[in-house]
Amino acid sequence: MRMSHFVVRDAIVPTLTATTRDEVIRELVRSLHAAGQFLNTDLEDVIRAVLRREQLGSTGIGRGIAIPHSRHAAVSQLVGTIGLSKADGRIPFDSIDGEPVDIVVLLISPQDRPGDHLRALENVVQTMRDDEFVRSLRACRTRDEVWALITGGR
Amino acid sequence: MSANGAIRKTVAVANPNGLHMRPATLFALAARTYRSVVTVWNGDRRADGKSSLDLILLVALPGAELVLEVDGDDAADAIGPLADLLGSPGEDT
Repeated sequence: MRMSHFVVRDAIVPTLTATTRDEVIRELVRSLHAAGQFLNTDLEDVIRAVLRREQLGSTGIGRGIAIPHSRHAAVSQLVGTIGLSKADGRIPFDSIDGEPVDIVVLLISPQDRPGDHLRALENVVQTMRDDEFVRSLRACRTRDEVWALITGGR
Repeated sequence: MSANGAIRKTVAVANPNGLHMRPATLFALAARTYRSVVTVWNGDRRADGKSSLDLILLVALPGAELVLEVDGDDAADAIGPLADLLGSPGEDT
């Protein structure tokens, strides 16, 4: 699986306005909603589901990267988006290395497709181990730049 | 390898969502409480059992048969609890 298989281009947020973990999650879920990925009536419940998952344990995987996620019946296929923070001090996320984050990859999976969720997680973790990719992602200033990067072999 | 050799046990993934981030994190945290080297295999894929990210890269689907290998002076104490955790049905998270 490649990132471009589940990242929704129109939902990418190259400059997050939110500066806290919960606000970032809300901003990214709203961006997926604005890109037409689920119904109005599901929006608040999807946000709650991702926040609830985060409360069980941080999805901050270290090195400034977090992968908040949830399974939810609002989607029939795995969808995701990427948010980049340019905020000073980045975003506190209770990550495993204690470092704040500036790259957030949000995933929403259907309830009944665990394989897709696991493969997407694998893809994100594997991709984010590539220092050059992460450096290039941090340098992106527009949605098109992020999309060009993740479709360039990712 | 320790003087006594590694202990191995095959464990089927019972979590209906597979070995996703939460169970991988819980397993890695538990594995880190032992001195032994903890390795988990899913076929040819090998993960450091003390790294949740490594465990995610196993892509262990529900029902997958994993091999848990524990090597060190506390391996005999570690194998049971770690095998139970790896094979736990977990919560729906």
